[in-house]
Amino acid sequence: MNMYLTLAWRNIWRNRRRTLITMASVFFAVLLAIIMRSATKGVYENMTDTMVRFSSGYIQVHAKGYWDERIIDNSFSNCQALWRRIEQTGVSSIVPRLETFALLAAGDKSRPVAITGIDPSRESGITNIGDKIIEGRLPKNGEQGVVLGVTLSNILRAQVGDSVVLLGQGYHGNMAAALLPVCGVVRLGSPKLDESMAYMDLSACQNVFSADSMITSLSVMVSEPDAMESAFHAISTTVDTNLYEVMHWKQMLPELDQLVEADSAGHYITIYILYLVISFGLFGTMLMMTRERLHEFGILVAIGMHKRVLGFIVVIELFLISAIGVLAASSVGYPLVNWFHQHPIRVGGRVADVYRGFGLEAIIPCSNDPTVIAYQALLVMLVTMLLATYPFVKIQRLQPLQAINS
Amino acid sequence: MAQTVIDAHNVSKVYNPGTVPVKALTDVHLHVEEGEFTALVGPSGSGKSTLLNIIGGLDKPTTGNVVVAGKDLASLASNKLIDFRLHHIGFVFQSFNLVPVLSAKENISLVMLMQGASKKERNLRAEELLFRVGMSDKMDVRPGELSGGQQQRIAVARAMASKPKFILADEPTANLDSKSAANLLDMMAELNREDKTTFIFSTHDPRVIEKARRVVTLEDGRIVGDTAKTPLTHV
Repeated sequence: MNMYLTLAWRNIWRNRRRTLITMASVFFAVLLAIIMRSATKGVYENMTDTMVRFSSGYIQVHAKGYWDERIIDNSFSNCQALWRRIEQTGVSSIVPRLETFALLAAGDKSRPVAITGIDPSRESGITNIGDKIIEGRLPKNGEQGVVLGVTLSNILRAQVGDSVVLLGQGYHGNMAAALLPVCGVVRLGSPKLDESMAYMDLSACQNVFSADSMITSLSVMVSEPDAMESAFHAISTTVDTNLYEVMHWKQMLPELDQLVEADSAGHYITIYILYLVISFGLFGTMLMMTRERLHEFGILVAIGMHKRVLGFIVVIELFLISAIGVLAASSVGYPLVNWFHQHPIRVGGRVADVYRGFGLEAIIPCSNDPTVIAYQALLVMLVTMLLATYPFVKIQRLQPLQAINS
Repeated sequence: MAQTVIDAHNVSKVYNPGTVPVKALTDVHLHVEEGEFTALVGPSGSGKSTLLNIIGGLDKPTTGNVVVAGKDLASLASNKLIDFRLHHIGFVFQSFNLVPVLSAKENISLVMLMQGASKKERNLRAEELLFRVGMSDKMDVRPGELSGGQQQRIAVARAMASKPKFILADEPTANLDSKSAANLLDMMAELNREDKTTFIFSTHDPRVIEKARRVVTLEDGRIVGDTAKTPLTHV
C-alpha cells in the first residue's frame, strides 16, 4: 500500500507545472467559495439575529392559539414554574412581553399603534433598545410612561415630557384608558416600526390593560443561531403543549427565512458555477494524465498489475491534487474569515444608509463556522471523486496490447 | 525430462477479419521446454511480436490454442490472465518501459508487491537481482538517469522478480548499442545457464541469433525453420 501511495505521489509531480496549476485552481476556487459563503452566512446571521432579537426572539412561548388570533384575551399568566422549565433547557435568556393594540392620541392627532409591555432591564440585554433611544429614556419598573417610535412621535407631535392618551380594549373586554407621559423616543431603523411602535413598562402595561400578571409571549434567546433547533426541541418537550404553543422564528417570521433562503440559493448557484469551471480544469488534467500514460498503463497491466489497483492509484493521484488544494485553501481561508469575524468589514456611503434603514449595523461580518469550510472541502473532494470515475472506468476497459502500442 | 512451458498448437492470427484481413500468423506450432534460450527470428512483419504477444497472453489467437505452464490461456478470464502473467511470465520490452518515477530497486519490488510479497522479501530479492544483473550500485537511481543498456538490465531483473516460468523479450537489444547489446545477451545467457530461466526473444539482430541455443525462423506468419544448436536439455 505504501508503495502504491509513493507511486501516486511521485506520479503527480511528473508534470510539476501542470499539477501546481491544477492545485492552484482548486485552491483559489475553494478559498473564494469559503470567503463568499462565510460572508453571506455572516450577513444572514447578523441580519437574522438583529431582526429576531428585535421582534420575536429565536423562540416564543404563547398561550395555545395566540399566534392565530393575536389578542390580549389570548394571553397567559407569567408564572415562575414555566420560566424554570424553560430555563432548565439551557437557553441564554427569557423576556416576557405583553403585546396589544391601542389608539394613541395627542392634541388633535391620533394613531393606532402596537403597544408592547416590556421588562426594560431584561429587554435591553437582548434588543439593545436602550441604545436606540434618541431622546429621553426607557420607563423605570412600574413607571407609567411610554416610549414612542420616532415617526410616531412626529405624527402625534408628542415629545419627551408631553403626554399622550391611550385608548383601547383591555383583558376580557375591560376598558383600557390612560394618560401617559412620553418618557422617550426610539429610532428602531425600520420606517414601519418607527411609525407604529410604542413601549411601556410591563407591569404598567398590565395595569392599564387590566391584565395583571398576564403576558402574551415569553421570548427565548439562544447563545448562537445554530443552537435554536435543539433549544426549540427541548422547550417543546418541556412545556405543556395543551396550554402553550412553542414557535421558532422561522415559523413566526417566514418572510425573513424565505428571503435568506432565496438569497442563499443565488449564492449557491454562483458557487456551483465556480466549481463547474474548476471541474473542467480538473477533468482536463485528468484526461491528459490518463492519455499520456496509456502506454505505461498497458505495460503495468502486462506485467501483472490488476486494473483495479492501477485505477486506484490514478484515483489517489487526483485525490492528492485536490486534497492539497483544499487543505491549502482551508488553512488560509479559516484564519482569514475568522479575522473578518472578529473585525467585520465596515460598509460606508449609501450602502450603509440602506443597512441602517433596516435597523442593521452597517457591517459585513464573516461567519467563522467551520462547517462552511468543511462543506466546501467536502464538495470539491466529492466532485474530484466523481470525475475520477472517468479514468477508473477507462483503465478497467484498457486492453494492454492496444495501450502498449498507443 | 524437461518440463514443457509453452505449447502453441495450430495458432493463427488474422487482424481486421471483417474488413481487410491481414494474416499475421498461420498454423504455428511451437513447443518450448524449461531452460531453453530461444530466438524467434525473421524480418519485420514476419509475426514474431504477434507470436510473443499471444504466448504472453496479451493477445488472443484467431484459431488454435496456447497452453502455458499447463494452462490453456483461452480458459482464463481477464483478471485471471493478469494474475497468470504476474506469476508465470516475465516481460522485457524493446523500449525498457520501466516506471520512470520509481528507482531501479522499486521497479523490481513493484512486481513482488503485486504478488503480495513482504517488504523484507521484496528488498532482499530486489537487491539480489540487481547484483545478478550487475546493477547493485544503481539501486536508488531512477531510469531516466540510466543508459539504455542499464535500463534493459533492470528490465530483465524486473522480469525475473516474480520467478516466472519463462521470460518473453521482444527485440530486447533493438534500442541498444552493440556493446550494451552484447553485455545484455551475455547476462541473459548466464541467467539461463545458472537458473535455468527460460528465455524466448524476438530479434533480427545476427549477434543475438548467434547467442541463441535454438532459433525459430518465421516468415510471413509461418515457421519456416527451427534449429537447435545444442541439445535443448543441455543448455
